[in-house]
Amino acid sequence: MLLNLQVEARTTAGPFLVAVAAAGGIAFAGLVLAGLRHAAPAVAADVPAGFGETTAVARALFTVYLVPFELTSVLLLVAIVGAVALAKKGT
Amino acid sequence: MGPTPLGWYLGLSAVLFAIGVLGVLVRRSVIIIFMAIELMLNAANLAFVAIARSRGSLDGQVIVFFVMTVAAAEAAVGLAIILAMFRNRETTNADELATLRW
Repeated sequence: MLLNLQVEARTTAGPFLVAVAAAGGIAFAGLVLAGLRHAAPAVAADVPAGFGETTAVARALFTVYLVPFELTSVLLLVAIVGAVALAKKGT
Repeated sequence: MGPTPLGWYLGLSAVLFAIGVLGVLVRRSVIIIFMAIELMLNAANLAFVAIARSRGSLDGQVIVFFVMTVAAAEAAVGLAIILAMFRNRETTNADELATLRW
């Protein structure tokens, strides 16, 4: 069935691909670590008390971002209608 | 221990995003791929929130709400597509769903 737990068919990659993947992984880890070491001294700024409270977030959401907020309602409506239309049986 | 530096949040966000990319590339079950996409979206959310806190600006937190809304819409439509695909093809293996028409 759709959600049954099943063992995925594993495809074995060649040694070349494994080497490329390992090199990419190491390079990515080095990149992240370099970025961390570079950014680590920058201690997070002291935020004012009450930063990120619902009051302030809601004020920004309903004033500055009012138009995008309203547009998301249209997006959600379209998504709901689309989901129902797609998942309907016997189309 | 003072406040956590911004870099750690961004590092965690990068690692989560990489796990998401890896999941999309490696796993073959459509539902697992879907989960990996959500993981990437939430990694971006973490970066947004961390930078918003670091800069003392609320904009990032508001953007996260929109990202979550888009993620919800995407989840609804995506799961409906997966459901329709499974009804037609009886499989959720991405490799067996490669044809555009049949």
